[in-house]
Amino acid sequence: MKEYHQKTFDHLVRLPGFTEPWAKNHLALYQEYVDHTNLLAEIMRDQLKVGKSGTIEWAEMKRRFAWEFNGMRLHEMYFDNLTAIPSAPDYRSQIYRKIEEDFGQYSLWEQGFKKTGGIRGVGWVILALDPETGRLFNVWLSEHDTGLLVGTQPLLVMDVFEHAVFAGFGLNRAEYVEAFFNVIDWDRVENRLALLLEPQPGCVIA
Amino acid sequence: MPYHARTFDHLKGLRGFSDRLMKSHLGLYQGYVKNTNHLAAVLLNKVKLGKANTIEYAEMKRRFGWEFNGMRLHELYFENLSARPVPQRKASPLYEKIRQDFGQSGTWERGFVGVGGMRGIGWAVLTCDPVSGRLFNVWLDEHDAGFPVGATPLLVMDVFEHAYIQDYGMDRPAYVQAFMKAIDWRVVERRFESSTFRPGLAMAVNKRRAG
Repeated sequence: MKEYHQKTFDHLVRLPGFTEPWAKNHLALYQEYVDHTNLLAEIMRDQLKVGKSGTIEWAEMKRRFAWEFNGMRLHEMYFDNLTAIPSAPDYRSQIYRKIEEDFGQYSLWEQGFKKTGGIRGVGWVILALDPETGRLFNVWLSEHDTGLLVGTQPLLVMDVFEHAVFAGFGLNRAEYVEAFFNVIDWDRVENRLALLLEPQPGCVIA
Repeated sequence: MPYHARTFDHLKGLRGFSDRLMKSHLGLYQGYVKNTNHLAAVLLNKVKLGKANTIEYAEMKRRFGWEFNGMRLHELYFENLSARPVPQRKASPLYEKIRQDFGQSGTWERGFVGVGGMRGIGWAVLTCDPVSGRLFNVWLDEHDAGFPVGATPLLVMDVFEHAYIQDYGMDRPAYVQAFMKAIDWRVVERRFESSTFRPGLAMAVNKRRAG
């Protein structure tokens, strides 16, 4: 049985527009999600084995699980799509052309993504790809666990919890969103799309 | 590119489910397809008109996962049921993976059925996490809360009241048993083996490459 392990993201402390305390606090918070994902998975598995899967304790842990799991996974994808040496998206890249195809213009997509990031509430914005049709969507998640489109794969992930915004930008979320756009690792996004286009044996893609 | 409601003719004569129940269930599904298309079109149009910072845009955006998943989960659910059910193959990679992750197939089944008995309205889904390859039985509140990011849905069971009340009344365990007996495991095994790759995706991209 695989356990989940904390990954390292050394580039976070060097992100232009973001402070070192922002990065360190964010990484510490991420670690708690990894710990709790492992803890919940282990307790539920043990309870199942001893025939306690009908209990209210098991049910409520089950209901909570995606909150911890997604808190872990979304942070990993978010950290991973940020870079200390950013560059503009390449208009010849597959992702750029796919965006233009689905949204008409790159700038329309960008506007939609940014404004989704301005939605009142606490959560995430994801550019997701529906593998059934190849279609792209800008998706809002309330907290970590509500609103994700079933079976879709995230290509670009932006945290809009208060912990991501307040430490550097106070109440000015729009400024945070701009800072985020300045440090997107477009090569990573392109790479995620490329991985999804390859047939994969079994369920594992990475 | 709109989504189209699919027909599920293989469901006729599904054992343990009345034609009346399946007919209303398929009718309900068509409503999700219609609303997914409608919301997607209206949302994109709002962005084009420069109205992406309005409360209407925000609240439709917040709702989108409810409609989209209502569509997609029903498709996966209808697809993994059959009037001629096929049992799990003991030699399949999925069976082996279930044994690896849950110890025994029976333990997995107890867990899945246990999730289907949870208080509330939603779905029980066997998922695979593509990053670690690990399987999880997950609960979704309604359509849109609780799905693990990036996971591949393998087996999908509807536990909204509309899925069973007409035939089973309050006896949800009897419905869950009928569901378990009507699974086409070939579909579930195929989902595990073919992973996230879908022909639809390759077509969309190849078309763009050609153009």
